[in-house]
Amino acid sequence: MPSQDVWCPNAALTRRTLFAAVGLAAAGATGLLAAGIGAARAEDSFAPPPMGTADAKHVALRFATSYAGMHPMTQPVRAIIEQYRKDYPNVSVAIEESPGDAQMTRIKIDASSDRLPDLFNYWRLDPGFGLDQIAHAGKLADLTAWTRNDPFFQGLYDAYSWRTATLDGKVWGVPINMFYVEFLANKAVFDRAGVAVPSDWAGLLEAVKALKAKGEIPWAISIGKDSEGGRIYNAVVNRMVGNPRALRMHAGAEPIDVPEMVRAAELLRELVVGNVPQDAIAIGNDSVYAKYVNNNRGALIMDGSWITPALKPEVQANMVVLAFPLIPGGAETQQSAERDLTSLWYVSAKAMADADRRPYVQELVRRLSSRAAEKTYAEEGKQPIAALGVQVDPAKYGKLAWAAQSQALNTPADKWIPSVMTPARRAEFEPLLGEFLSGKYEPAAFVAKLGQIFSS
Amino acid sequence: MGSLRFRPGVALFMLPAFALYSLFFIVPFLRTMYGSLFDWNGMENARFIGLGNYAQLARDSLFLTGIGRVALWALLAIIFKVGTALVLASMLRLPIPGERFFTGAFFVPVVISSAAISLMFTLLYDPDIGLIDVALRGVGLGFLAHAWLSDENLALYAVIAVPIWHTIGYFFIIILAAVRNVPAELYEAARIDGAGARTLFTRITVPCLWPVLQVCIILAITAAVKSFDYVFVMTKGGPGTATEVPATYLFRTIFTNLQLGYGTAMASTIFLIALVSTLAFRRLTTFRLD
Repeated sequence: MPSQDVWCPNAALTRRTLFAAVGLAAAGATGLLAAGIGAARAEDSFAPPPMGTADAKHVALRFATSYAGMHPMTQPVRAIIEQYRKDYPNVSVAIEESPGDAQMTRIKIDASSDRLPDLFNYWRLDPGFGLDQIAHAGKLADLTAWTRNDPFFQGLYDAYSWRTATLDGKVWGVPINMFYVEFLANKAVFDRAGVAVPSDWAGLLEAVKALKAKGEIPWAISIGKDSEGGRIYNAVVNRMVGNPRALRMHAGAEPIDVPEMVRAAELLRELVVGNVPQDAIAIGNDSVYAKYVNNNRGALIMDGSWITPALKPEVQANMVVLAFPLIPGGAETQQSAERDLTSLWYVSAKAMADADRRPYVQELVRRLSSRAAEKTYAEEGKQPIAALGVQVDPAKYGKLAWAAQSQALNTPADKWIPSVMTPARRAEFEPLLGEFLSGKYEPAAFVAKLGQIFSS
Repeated sequence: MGSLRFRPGVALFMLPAFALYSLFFIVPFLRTMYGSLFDWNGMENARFIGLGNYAQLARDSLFLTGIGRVALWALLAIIFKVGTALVLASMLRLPIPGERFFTGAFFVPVVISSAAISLMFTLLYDPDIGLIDVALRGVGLGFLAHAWLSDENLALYAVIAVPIWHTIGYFFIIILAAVRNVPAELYEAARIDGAGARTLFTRITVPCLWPVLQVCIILAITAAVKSFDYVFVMTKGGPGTATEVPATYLFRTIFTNLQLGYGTAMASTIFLIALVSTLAFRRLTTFRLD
């Protein structure tokens, strides 16, 4: 079975350049070592602490993670922690689990009570996730010097990943994995309804209407807060006004109450309203998969790449990967896909400042970020990874995920629109979008309300 | 006959309790009130804005709508929760066959956590597999079947019904203990005077239980004002903001938006609303039986 690099955040970065990057990194690391990084090692700045010393000074670490329960990353991360515990019997690692978005809440609570965990995974530093405020407050460790000077990190990630981990010129996190949005059609449902899988915008609108007329559920999605409904909103708005302008509008830097947005809202209504499960606004994404997707009860889904493992194998076999079509007259004239770095490891400022804890935290981060670790994240956790030069077996990654990823990588990247919203604006936007997608507002009224949120 | 006289030395014995009360209630409460005067994200750069948060709160339609929702919640809780508990307790005032079974059955839901009850009802309300819609369709009332938690006109009532059902047993036990303490002679004398069951209930049971009913009503009001868990688990304030109540909005404001100053202003206002409504209710409904 051939294997290849699983993730290339920059679409222009080919396998050849990846190998070159790894080679250069290796050469660079060697050169740096020769040029004086060895001196840093002599100071024990980056050297792993000695293993197998139960009688060494006891160190307690708190590790907070959203990789819990059935999350596909749970087992790979747990395996690394278990090995770490064996190698460092003097270190106790308390795992504090907060599944999904609960991790956001717990980290914010911990930050405001000044008890941030020593190490935790979290989303990007975009305003929408709130970690930027925690970094500004000095509660996150500044990892700039470490990540730039420790040979371990040389060539591990591309420039985009490092830029994403950077805020105000400082590196705050170590990348874990990426995401891209998948647009999938359940061929079995289309065949059952006798409807052709669409390939352009007009075909998509026609297919949705035809599926509904045949008694099928066109979209197997949730339209509640932070749901798949938001993914479709992003896609339609990006197609209509272009991603850069959409980001400016949702950051409050440009008026949003404009005719193009009203047109986007009209198209969104035609595409989605009335074409979702009757309880779409009340149930979460997980319930959608349990009730509709995995029972072949919905024709189309649009969600982040992390959901592929949630699809039953027999349902995955029915799925075909689609490109969200361009909208005639829209600003986007070539295919694009929403994708980004999504998760990073962060270290608390207190842990990094503590001479006892720092080397053990650094070693744990290295183990969780190694190419071997990233390989297990891809092959066992089925996640698109951030590290370069990792050889992943496509068969283990999954046929559907591989196809979706290949499509996502072959197009320019759109940034996730809510990433530019402040948490307060996002908290207003998401319920409003849910109400609109459930048919409560006319497009013009919806866009006027968007104007109130994003111009305030 | 002697008289009760306050001796200052006795106050020393109150100090430990007062210290604990201060540590765990008064100081946090005052800090919360103080924090509500700042624009603050909980971590840095607190900016004093005086009553600015309260002025914003007075214009915040989501908060004001939420206050209206908990007022409705309190009203329905008084009518259905306290009312049902009173009726059930009155039925069990005198020993009847199966009395212990009924007492246990009415009380059992109270011992289940609100989160578990909320999850259970989320499934019961499901339009596909929920027992409520399945039963309605089963008895030929399919036209009444609904996606209860998805309909913005029904979702609030669907949520409110859950805590009302869940905690009837709690009020039932309180009222049952009180109703059994009403002297039997009162009922006997009234019956001799020709009073029927309705007169006994309205002229003896309710007046004799009034102080207890007052407490139950106050508990129902404060529970409604503070309501959080049922909404958070069942709808998270949705669909849209149709079931958003002040406590869930407060949670989101503080822990999602990191607006601690504004959130603590909300918390202080919720406290004041609960306090004022409780005091007003007591003042308006307290009367002396002469």
